[in-house]
Amino acid sequence: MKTFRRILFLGVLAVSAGLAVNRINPRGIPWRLLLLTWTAGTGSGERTTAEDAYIGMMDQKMVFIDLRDGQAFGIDHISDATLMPFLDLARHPGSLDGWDREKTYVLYDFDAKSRIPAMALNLMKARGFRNVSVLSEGFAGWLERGFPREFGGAL
Amino acid sequence: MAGAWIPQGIRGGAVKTDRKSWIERLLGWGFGLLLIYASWGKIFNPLDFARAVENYRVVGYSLSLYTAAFLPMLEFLTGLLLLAGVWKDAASLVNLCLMAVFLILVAQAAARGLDIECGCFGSESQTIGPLKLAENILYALLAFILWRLIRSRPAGYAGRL
Repeated sequence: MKTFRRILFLGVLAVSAGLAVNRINPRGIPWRLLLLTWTAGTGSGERTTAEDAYIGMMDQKMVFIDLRDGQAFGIDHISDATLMPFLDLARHPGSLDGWDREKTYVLYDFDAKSRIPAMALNLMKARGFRNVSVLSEGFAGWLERGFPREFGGAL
Repeated sequence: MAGAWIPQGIRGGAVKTDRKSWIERLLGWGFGLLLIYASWGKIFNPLDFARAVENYRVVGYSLSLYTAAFLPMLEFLTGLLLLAGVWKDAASLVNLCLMAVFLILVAQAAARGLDIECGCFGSESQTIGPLKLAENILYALLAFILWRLIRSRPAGYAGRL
């Protein structure tokens, strides 16, 4: 019993100390990222199918935001997409301040099940963006449908 | 008492206890240093560690972030306790659990053919392969031996300095 009490204390201490160190560490996990994982979720109005996104692309009404890292973006990405690695966005949400809030943004990660676009959506909404949605099928679904993509770009 | 006759069995038992005690100390110090070394890079680069955890494809992005926030600190504190010889019962059990979990993760990654770095030592991690698996099996075995040695001590001993 004493052993398990000690283990419990050790666990609580590890969590507290871990979060405290993370808070002061400049390369730590941003707090808003840890909080976003609890609240991230999208309603039906916040998701765009690949087909609708493709039509929006043809009409030049949508801006695609690639949330993956530079290396993945450099391999291939949706045509004319803008790279915004999610970790950079989470660390520096102020970088969105210069963006046009009247445009329609479609966020995507590679995997359709990824929660990263939902977290990024919450971040952007908190900064005053209204026309933001998540690409339902992800980049994987986009590729499956044979929709246009580009190769190369920022690494 | 000088010149007192000590029955052979008891004398042999004392030697055995001394040997066990030294093995226990060496294993404790060894794991203490190993855990502190392994955790150091991960504590200060948690995002890299979160990515390494996610690469195992056992937990998603969210859980990998939380794991990266607290697991390295747990390793560090456990290492400190083992090195200092404090709360050895708890520290050795946590150490055993950590080694067992790492072994399971590496084994399942190897079985699935995942070409990933183990993430064990932060940026200095090796790619998962037969050598890494053998290394983890060894660590798990030694952790078990340490735990058994400490557990076999008389009650009230395991927590003492």
